Amino acid sequence: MGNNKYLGGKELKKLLLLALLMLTAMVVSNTQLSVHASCESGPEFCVEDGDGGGTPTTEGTLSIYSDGTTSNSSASSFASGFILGTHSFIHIENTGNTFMVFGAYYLQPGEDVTIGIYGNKDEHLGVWYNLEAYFFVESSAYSDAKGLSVEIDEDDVEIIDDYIDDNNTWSNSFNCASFAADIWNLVSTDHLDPYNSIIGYDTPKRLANKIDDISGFFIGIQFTVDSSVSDDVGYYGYTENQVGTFVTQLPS
Amino acid sequence: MKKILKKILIIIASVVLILVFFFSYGWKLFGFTFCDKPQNVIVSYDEIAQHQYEITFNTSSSYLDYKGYVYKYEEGILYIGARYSQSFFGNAKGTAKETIQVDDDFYKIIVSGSGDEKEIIIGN
Repeated sequence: MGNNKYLGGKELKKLLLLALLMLTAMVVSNTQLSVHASCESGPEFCVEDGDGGGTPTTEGTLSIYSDGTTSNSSASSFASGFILGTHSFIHIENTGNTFMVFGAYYLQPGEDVTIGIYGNKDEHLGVWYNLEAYFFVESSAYSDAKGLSVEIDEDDVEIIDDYIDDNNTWSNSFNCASFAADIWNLVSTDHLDPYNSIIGYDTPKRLANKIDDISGFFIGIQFTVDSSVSDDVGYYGYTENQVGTFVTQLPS
Repeated sequence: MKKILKKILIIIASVVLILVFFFSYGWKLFGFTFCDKPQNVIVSYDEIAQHQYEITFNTSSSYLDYKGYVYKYEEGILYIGARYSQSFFGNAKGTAKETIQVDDDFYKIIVSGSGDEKEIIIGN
């Protein structure tokens, strides 16, 4: 009876140890599951947090670009190009070690994305991802654009993500210059006002002029698109009703 | 006084009409001069029959509207240009597909406009 009691205590210890091991395994397993779950809603290139096992850091660089040049040399471009310009957009590079979310786009560490709104693409009026990068690769577009850069952190990423979710649209009064300048103004202390009082709405030309007034501005595309990221550049698209549609060919 | 005012109004209306006509159609008379800069025009093509091609135009601008294209074929080179301008009536179309017929095969496309050119080598 006494022996039985002693053996029962030993078994209890073993049971407790086993339970502890199982609990540890469950905690580890649940952590991995939750990471995968956070990626499930994203596109196929979504990656897990904490790459490399270090402390997760969310940091990056946001650049604003605005091409205020004319599209053609005719007198009508005096109205459509000289005053309005061509296009404005933002570029974000993820320099941290966790992925970032911008609307429907999951940005991996070490990668970058261009984001802008369009009012003349049949498939979608509003936010497009990487379309500017595609045009840059295909046609050296925006080579005369003026730009500025600022560092961003986790809070900024959340603010930008919310803004993109709430502003997936395009109109004359809310155009590419409004979108790019708004995002810049959310994360930078250098305020940019793209409003052209003569025609009554924001323009890329005006935004380019304002960028020109701030020290540290640059001219031309500063990000590189080499073969290692060409797949991602081809992976451009848009989002509608929080669902991403990423195409690999030009819009028709 | 009324006659002078009437004349002024007629002159203004005529100038507006001429400008509208020119910017809608007349620009084609000047070849590639009034086409958009090549870096703003993205061109791709598909051969749909012998010497017949479907050309797709797109623009790096986010608001300009497609107005038309011009082209010429010369010694194995297809010169092509497209014009975009602001749409005053909304519904701007940045993308357009056009079918063109050429006399012979071409080995190179040159996108031309506003005094600038960009080469597209066939097969690359």
